[in-house]
Amino acid sequence: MDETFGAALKRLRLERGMSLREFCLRIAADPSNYSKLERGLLNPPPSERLADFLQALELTSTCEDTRELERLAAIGRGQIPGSILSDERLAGKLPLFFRTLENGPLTDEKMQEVVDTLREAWISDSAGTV
Amino acid sequence: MIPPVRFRKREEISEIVDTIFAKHHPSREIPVPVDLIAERMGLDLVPIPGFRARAGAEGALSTDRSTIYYDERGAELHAARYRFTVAHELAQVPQLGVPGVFSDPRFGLFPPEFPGFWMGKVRI
Repeated sequence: MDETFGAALKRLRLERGMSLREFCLRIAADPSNYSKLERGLLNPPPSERLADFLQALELTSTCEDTRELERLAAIGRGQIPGSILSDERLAGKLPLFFRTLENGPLTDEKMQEVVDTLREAWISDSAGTV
Repeated sequence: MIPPVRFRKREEISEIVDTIFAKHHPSREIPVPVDLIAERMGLDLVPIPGFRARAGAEGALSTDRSTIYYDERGAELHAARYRFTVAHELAQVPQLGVPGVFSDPRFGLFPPEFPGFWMGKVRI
């Protein structure tokens, strides 16, 4: 299974050598509730609160770990990541994308093929604009 | 049925501690961050409000040796006691020879997969 928001948060915290209680002091959170967040028993917090977590982890707004946490948080809340919704053209295509997905179960291999195709298209587009 | 606890020689304990320190706390700085070491060893540390009142203990190790539960209020008030509790439970990880059985008879009161407590409709 792919990493969840809580698991990613715990990994990043431990990578920085912070215990659960120390991290909770930094973000002014109740350890019992925060522990539930890491274990996936509570939904990820809203963006404003997530910003406190990112600051305590000393993550900048542009780094990949920040973007990944924001994506996982949105998914954990049952939302579409803001970075996708802010692109009107992309957001407009989402119903088509969802309809396609609803046609049937997608195997991991097929999903990887889709990701690879998108990545190749993105790379060739980027190369074309240079 | 409580599994027999194998006694270890002092040298053997030192060897275990050295192995754990080498991997999870190489600086050997004091105070030793026992809670961080436990988490780095892959255990979950779960603070539970009211644990002491309900369980009659400061902490407990889950039967699958994956989680240390401890009393949240006690940890907040007594940092040294909290560190001792985590170290105490952590030491039981290699002691438990039979999966699914606690080494402490008091915890025979709990179901095999200790799920935490319910307070009203809320799981704590």
